[in-house]
Amino acid sequence: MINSKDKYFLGVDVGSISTNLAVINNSKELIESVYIRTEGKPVDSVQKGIKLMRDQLGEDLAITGAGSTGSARKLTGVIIGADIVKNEITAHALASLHYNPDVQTVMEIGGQDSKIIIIRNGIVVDFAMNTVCAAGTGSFLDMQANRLEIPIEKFGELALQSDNAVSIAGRCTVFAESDMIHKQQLGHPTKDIIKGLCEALGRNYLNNVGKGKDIRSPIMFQGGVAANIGMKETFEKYLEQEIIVPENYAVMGAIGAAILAQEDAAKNPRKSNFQSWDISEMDFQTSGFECDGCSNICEIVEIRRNDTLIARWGSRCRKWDLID
Amino acid sequence: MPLSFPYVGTFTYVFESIARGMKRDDIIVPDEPTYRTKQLGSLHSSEFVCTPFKMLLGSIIEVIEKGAYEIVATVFVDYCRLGYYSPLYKIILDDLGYDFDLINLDWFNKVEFFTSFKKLACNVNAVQAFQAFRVGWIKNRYIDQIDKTLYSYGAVEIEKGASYNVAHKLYRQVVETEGMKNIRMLPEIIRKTFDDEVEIDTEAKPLKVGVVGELYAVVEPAINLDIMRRLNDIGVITETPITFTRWIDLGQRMNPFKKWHYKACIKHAKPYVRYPLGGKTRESLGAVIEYKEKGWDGVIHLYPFTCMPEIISRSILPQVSREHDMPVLSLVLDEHTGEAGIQTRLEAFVDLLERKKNDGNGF
Repeated sequence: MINSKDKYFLGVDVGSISTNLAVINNSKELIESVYIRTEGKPVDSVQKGIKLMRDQLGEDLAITGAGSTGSARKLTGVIIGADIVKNEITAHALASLHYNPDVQTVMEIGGQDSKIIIIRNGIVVDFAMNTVCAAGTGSFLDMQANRLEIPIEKFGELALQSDNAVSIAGRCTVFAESDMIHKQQLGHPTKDIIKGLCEALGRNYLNNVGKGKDIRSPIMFQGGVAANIGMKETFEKYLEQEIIVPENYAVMGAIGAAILAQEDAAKNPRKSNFQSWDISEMDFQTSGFECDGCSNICEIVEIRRNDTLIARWGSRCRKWDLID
Repeated sequence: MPLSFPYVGTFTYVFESIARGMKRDDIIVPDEPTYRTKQLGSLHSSEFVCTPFKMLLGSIIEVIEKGAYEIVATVFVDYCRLGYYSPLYKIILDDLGYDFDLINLDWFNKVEFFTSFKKLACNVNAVQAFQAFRVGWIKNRYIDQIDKTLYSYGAVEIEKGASYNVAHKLYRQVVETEGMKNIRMLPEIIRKTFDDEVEIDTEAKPLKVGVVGELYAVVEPAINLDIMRRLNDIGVITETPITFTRWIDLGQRMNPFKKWHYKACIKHAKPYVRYPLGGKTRESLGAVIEYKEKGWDGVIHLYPFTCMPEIISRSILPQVSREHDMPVLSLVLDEHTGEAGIQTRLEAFVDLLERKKNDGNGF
């Protein structure tokens, strides 16, 4: 697959729960991908991800362009030396369009947020994200899996085994959890509770994030939660349409970031800022302090690479801002 | 007795001008709301009240701590909980044991309005008081002019932050200018200062996005996480039709030929909402159509968590947006300081507008 004449692009998507990396070639074909957990340490997980990617590729591939996305895109951009830093909605839309150019709806459920992207004729025309709370996202499923001591990977399978979903409140995770505990104490089997939970989250998603949106097929479902076949079935049941889960559903954000880097390099060829594959060997230090200039008490963050200050941000008045 | 008022965006400058004109030399100028203001306000408010209530309460407590005694609270009533702000502030602050006098300027209660106004204008006679008010509404036009210029120059400036600094210098200049002859020169000075001191990229073709929604959420950067500046930073020209002009500018209000943006919006909103539902419901809906007709690219709708009127607009907006092919982004604001969420939505919205404008060809 790797050809010395081809150009390669790296995309990194660092979200609240997972860190994904993807390397694509000039024709946007996926070469390798990495999916690991962020575990609250984005810098470490980027370094770990880069190391894994390097091992999987087996050689130090020349990178023509690098892109970063996800909630830690700014930090990641500084660490890897990204040429383009973009939001995850654009990244997901591009990756979905590459996978299926006819797609009209993209549903993405990640760790902390869920989004719906409406596409018509290959252009994003509307999108929505969950508003003030994270009910119905990956973190909650994760937490419940932990509580029930079921590996999260088995969640969907178990839900499929049930044909009698119990009713669970989906509006708020606190209510959902007390409903689940109540049903479990009444003696309902775990699989019925899990199926009920999947249905509650599906309803919550469609009524909250998908409210007022014109959901047309083909519909793609991606993000970490797409691994849960129970959720896929729930959506098929409520929408009465076929749901496509792309093969690389978990790393679509990273693929999107890589596509952005590729498009950017094609439009505006220049030398990439990409650090090197040695990122995993470098020493990155982040430190913070509170500015006492006013009562906003902004928390300033500094990022150092091998003891050189490479970025600083966090002040509302911008007096501390330093990028590159 | 030291006089003060809570901080409300750039309207603070207008208020300061009016108080100065009434020869009050005991004005305590409120500070911009900070993290502490939010905390103070939410600590002493009911949990489910609108966020502006909390922020204003925090600001009032801060000015009382700075030594203010007479405090001007709400000036407007908007057919929603806003009408209850002042009485509630009084109860809460009394309970907290503060020594203060809350001055409520309620236009709908004429007797109370004039008694309160007289208290404010204790140092001057009626003619001088009216003159001070008139200077206030005229200065308000120029403050609006600075805001408007700032939010368009900010998008195309070459050196980031240049227009922001110029604007802040000019706000002070507007407050401090005295004498009607000098005041009348201000628009020209503002135009010239921006032209001379801000270098702009004349090649740029920036997107244009209107910002509408709940009054306080739109005008106060501390609650909307400085959304106007964020938009400028990603190269978008922005403006808000929601200013204080429509209330205090008696000069323009008496002009029968004045074309009011909000009246046009309310007319546009007629097929969706026929009667007032409080707040800016009809205006927010109509603004989508108004901006579409003006050839702008999109509209951002801001509303504080639990704001009743704007929740109504929020649920009708998708329909208006679809029927008029105008992208709308609704953002709910609360005490949160996590800026990443807002930034992501704004960037994605701007990407969407850009692709739409270029017919899907690249960013």
